[in-house]
Amino acid sequence: MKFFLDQYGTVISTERAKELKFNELSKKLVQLDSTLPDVSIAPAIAEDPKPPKSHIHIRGDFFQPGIEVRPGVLAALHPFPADEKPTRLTLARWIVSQDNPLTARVAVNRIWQELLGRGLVTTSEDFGTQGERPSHPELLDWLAADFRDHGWSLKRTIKQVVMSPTYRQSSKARPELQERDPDNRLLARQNRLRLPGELIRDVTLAASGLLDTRVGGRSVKPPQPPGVAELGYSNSVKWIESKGADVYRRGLYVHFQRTAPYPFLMNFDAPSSNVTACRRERSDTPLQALNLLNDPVFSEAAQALAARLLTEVSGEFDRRREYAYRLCLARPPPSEQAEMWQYFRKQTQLLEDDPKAAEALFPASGIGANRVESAAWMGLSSLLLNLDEFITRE
Amino acid sequence: MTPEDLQRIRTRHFLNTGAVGLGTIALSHLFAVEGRTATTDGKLSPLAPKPPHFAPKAKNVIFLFMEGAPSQIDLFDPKPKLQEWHGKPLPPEMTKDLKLAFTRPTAAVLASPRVFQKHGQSGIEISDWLPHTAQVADDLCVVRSMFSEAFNHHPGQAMLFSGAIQFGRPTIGSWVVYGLGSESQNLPGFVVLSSGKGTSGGSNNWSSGFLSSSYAGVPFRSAGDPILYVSNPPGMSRDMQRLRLDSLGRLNEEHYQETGDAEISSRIQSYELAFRMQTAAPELLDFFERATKRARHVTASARSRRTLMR
Repeated sequence: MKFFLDQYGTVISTERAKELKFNELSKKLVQLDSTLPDVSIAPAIAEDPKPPKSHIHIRGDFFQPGIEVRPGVLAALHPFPADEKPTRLTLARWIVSQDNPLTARVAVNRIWQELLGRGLVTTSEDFGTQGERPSHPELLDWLAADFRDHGWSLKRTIKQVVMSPTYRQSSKARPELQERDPDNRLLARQNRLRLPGELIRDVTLAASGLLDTRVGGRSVKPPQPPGVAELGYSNSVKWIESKGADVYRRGLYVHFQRTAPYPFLMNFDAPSSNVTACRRERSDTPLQALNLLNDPVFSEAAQALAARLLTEVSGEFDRRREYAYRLCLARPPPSEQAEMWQYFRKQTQLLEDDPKAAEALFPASGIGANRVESAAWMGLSSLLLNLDEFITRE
Repeated sequence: MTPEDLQRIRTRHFLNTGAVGLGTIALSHLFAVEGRTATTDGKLSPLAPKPPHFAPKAKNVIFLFMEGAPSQIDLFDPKPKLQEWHGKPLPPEMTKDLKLAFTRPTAAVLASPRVFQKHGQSGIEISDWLPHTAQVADDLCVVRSMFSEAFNHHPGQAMLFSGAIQFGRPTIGSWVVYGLGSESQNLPGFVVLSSGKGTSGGSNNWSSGFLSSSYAGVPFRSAGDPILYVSNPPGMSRDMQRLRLDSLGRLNEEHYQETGDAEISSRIQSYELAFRMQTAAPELLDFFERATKRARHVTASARSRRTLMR
């Protein structure tokens, strides 16, 4: 509360702060705070002294109870402490106990999977007999032990991985490795990884300057063509598009309607949300191409990027191209490359013959450039936003 | 090895692999035609055609699902027991501990008011509501052994499409594409045509469940673009799109030369296929309009609210 008053006090005028007696109230609050007893713990969940009987449900049907089951763990794993009551707390302690290497292994393997494209154990959902064996068992154990011994810090483990020489290698293919390790299991180089759908949305909005980076809050519903939501549960789904800055929020905030999911996410391998998924496929389909080329969300991003290039950089083509490369690919364009200029010149010609097209491709006005030029930059922006390099972690 | 031995091996080999062998030849032809041979690092697209384990008889599977049609007990699945119990509640031994959504277990049984007759040589029983269907009884195969342990719409549909009343399992179309891949790379292998409104199951009816979402059904739409985003953005003419793709292809190719990552050439292919889908779209739209008209016709005559076609 005091924090709020102090913060709020700095953004309103001094007069208003006086009027509201902020200083006095703040002092009073400190006094009152000092009289409060120390924070105590209030139980929110308690153990039932007489737990109800639990049964296996035959084929998942709770009308068909099978044999009664009691708390316990798999016999193949380290034993449950015999002298403790089998409570949730005991289970939690058992999961993170020093005798259980699995928890830490599974956790660091997921991190490895996201950063290198494939877990040290490829089947990150299955460390059992049906899963694959680790490619680097000692490394997995070292990372797991390091993770566990340093307070289970995800940040530390991510840092360990991204600062490793293995992670920092170039992802360029090396012909001499083609025969010896075609799948790059041994990681003599980094892997190029197509970004997950949510991140493709994020980088596109970020490059165009549209991204709303607010953290938390409700899910958002970006525009989607009519008819998509109607396929949801008995036509009962109402997809009411978000308004204002909400439209440009990050991909992870996109509302997931289970019976009519947002098509962009499905096109880019987001898993069905009805089942757990520990890893995603990275597919490459024509539907993805259509999505990035023609979805109005991405056209709008291309328009915004074009406007950005036109307003934030003045002068000749090359300087704008340079800025566009830095925004989209975080590198300068190759100096000898003429493709972009060729495209820009030909697109300008096509637009000059078709002024209406220019207006449709770039409807905004008042940014100081003429319509044809703006529309040509919009085309060039969309070209950049469709590059394989743009949607790939190199 | 004598020439005779060789001949014998060849014959045996041919007999053993017969249809599959021929199928494989056809497939490799398709691979070449569609430009989807294994990428240089040996990986295949998840949708690449795969040789079947058995010689196939079917070329395509078309599955019509008519949600909201009259009940089968009024059409072609007579239930004599219902006639017996008509107007009476079910026997207590059946209703003991029975819990049903929407319905009291003690509610009276309602028999079908329809009259059934055997038709054709096969003697399929069909009700008086389907006099024309009855005339082609011998062209039909009616399966009556299917049942679901849930009677509500959504779990019933989940049962039909995925074999389990709870969602989360792959649907039949996903399994087919997972097992066999898809011969067509111009269009998705598993498509869903809908007469417009959603079924109770929604996308669960064509979900890939725990399989990768590459195997999920792709809805074709009855209004707007038949495939999402198959139309160019407003103002983008066909020439402009071609220009955009040409430059894109060359820039991607440049990057491919630099990195040597075969995924890039695969993406170049995908963009070309996308363009081909765009050029095929008017044709597709035409087909689709005819298909939905037909579906609407079916819908009207069967009083079905929703039609799903795959």
